[in-house]
Amino acid sequence: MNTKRFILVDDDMFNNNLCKMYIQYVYPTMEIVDFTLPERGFEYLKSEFTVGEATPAILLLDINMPTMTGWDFLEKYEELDQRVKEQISIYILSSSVDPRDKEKADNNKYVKGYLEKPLQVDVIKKISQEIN
Amino acid sequence: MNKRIKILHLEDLPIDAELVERELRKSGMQFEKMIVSNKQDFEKALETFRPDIILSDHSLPSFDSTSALKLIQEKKYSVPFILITATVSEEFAVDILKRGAADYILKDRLQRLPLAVENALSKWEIERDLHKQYKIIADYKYALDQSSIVAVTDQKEIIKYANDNFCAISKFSREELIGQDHRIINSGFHSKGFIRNLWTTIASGQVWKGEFKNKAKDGTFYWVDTTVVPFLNSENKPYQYLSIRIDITEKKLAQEELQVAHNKLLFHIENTPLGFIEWGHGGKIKTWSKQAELIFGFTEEELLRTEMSAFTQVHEEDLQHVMDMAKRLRAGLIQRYTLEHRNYTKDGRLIWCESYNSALKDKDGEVVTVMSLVQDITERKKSEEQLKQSALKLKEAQAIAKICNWEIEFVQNQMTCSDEFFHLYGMNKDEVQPSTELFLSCMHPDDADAAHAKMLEAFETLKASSFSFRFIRKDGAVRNGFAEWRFEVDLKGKPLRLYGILKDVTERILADEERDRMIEDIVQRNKDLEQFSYIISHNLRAPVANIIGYANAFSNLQVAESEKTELLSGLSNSVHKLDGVIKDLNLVLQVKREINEQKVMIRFATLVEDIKTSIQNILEENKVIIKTNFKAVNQYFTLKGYLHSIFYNLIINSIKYNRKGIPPIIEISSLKTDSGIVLQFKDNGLGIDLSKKGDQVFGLYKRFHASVERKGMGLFMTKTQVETLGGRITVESEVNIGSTFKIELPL
Repeated sequence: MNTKRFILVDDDMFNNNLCKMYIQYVYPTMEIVDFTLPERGFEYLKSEFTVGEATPAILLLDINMPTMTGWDFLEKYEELDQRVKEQISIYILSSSVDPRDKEKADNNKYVKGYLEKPLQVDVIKKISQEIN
Repeated sequence: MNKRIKILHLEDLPIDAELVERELRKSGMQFEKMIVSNKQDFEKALETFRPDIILSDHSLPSFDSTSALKLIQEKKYSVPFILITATVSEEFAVDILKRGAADYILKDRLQRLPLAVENALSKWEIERDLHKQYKIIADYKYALDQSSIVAVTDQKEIIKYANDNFCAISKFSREELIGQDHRIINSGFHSKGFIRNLWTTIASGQVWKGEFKNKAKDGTFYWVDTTVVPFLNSENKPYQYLSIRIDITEKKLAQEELQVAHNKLLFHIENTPLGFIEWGHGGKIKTWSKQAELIFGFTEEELLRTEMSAFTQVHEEDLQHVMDMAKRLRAGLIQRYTLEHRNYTKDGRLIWCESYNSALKDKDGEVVTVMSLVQDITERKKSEEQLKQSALKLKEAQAIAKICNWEIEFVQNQMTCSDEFFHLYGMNKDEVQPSTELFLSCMHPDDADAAHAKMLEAFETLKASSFSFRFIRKDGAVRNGFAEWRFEVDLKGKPLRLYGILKDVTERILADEERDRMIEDIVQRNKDLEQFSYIISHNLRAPVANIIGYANAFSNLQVAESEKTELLSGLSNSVHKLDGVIKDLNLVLQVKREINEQKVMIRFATLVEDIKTSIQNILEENKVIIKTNFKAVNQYFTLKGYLHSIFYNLIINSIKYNRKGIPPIIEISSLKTDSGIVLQFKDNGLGIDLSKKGDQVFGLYKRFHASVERKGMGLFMTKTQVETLGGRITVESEVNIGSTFKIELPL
């Protein structure tokens, strides 16, 4: 299964821009969608992913967002169809160096890993390979 | 015989009378003679003539010699009677002599008459003398019998005579006594030696005197003062003994009682811890009891020998007073006195004595003797001193601890308390009487009802209890008190005594409050630190992460020239963001340091007007309506900068988080509560879903609306400021209806 796209959910626009830049540097043709409002990002998951077609994606999720935190997002994510969820690999991408955040991420069954900002080239490669 | 003898002659025949007279004259007898011939004349002659001797014929016509003799005897006329008769039988002669006639003469033998008259007269005289002697003796005997108990025994102790007094005191009848051994009344009281002495004395013919205890018939005893007189025969040997006794039982009993009383007194004197001392003039010792010896160490002999006075052993500092008092007592100025003074004992110890001194006076008021009862009170003095010391220490301890103890005694219904009570209440001990009423009257008005109820409950249940209260000192200062008490009840459960303590705990309460405040502060600071840690890992780290990202992009990614501008713009933005966060942090930290500002009275209406003026353009642009109601409380004494900032931030917050197209309406009102005031800010804005965000509302950098350009500083700052003022902020909110912030501030 090849990664078809990266989904970025972070209220920090600058981070999203940086991520796009780095991902495109590694995978110039990669499809990237970004959301500063997590609600919109969730809507996207619901509408874009279908049960039949497999479109594997990596979702980079921020924690600290005003209207909906990363944790809120993960709670809502539960609602999605299992077959949809199977197509998505979620990574937390946070500036936090607080070990409690990392621990919380590790304990969540939908989170594949905890990534520290800023996103690095080798990290992009690593997570892409992990799911492949 | 020189005297003329008066002769009365009873004779009816003149011839016979003549014959008698002649015969008498013939003998040369000097006499005077009267002749009577009948009873009448005879009687008369006895009275008037008063004869020395009567001569009588035997038979006269109307009278006779027997009748005449009888008459004389009846009239107790003591005179010799000689019968002169013609013939007489032997029987008659004997009979008339028996009847008291001195002699009889036959008429034919008249020559014997003068001798007979002479004999009769001299014999009569002797008899009269004897009679006189006998009468005297009889009178003595009568007197003795009247005055004394008299008994006569023979030399073998057999009772020969017992008078009435003897019978009365011995309770034996005369018949029971006479012929009995005198030992019938032996009491067995006296020693053999005593009895032997009695017998050797009287047996040798000497009079014995002494006191005797005898036993009566009924077994009771009586005491007699006895004189035993031996009667001696011609050989000077006692043949009988006369006992003369006087009843001294009462005297003896009185003596015995006196002795018992005396013995008792001696017993008490020797067995009390009091030393008994009797002083003579100049303080010389007359009596010195064993206890006195034990107290002072000197024996009576020592004192008498050395002539020590009462004052020799008195401590020099007490001497003057002791001497003064003794002098006044002896002078009769005082009757008695009690004194405490120090004395040296024989072995040089210094002891404390208490003496009770009194003077015994005679009936003229002269001091006869001075007596002292002395007690060694050294131990008592020591205890008293210790007691005084411990009372003092207790008082000091109570003053340091600010604690007093008190008690109510129910029988007399009297309340007592330690001096510290008055000190705690700032009262003068002499001006007030401690009582429950006083206690309640000093109670802080807000605590009085509770205190009263607590006391009533205690009296009902009689259980130990305690409570805290505030009281007002006399100087008006309000202090915190703590009272605790217990009951003492009798066997029936009736309360005898209520006792307890009262403590001023103001300092402790203040310290507790201070500690609570410090703990709260530390907890808050800890939370703040956590918050900062969070801020650093998120808000501070976020722009840093971006900066690193941009920097790496420059060096590691082959960036097209056209993209560089974009990168630089992102980098610049991130750097500014970092700077902003650092500034915000600084601001937050500064707020906490600004408490030094002076507090002033702030009118809420004025404050709101000031803010409205400063943000007039924002209010106009957003069509904001601000309604105020400060009727309940219109002002508050606090730091102006803080309250301004709180109002400002809440107003701005309501405007920022308004609902699109709905002009914000902000209602600000005040309320008064028990502990302070409440300020309420109500808006009609977006509201917050508290079920999700409740715990984060007032966090630093918490925003709940992505659409609004805010950093999430406002509410965090507001909360910090409210808490710095000692208050509390809470929020109620409903999404798309609005939010209400409540700020509670203390008085």
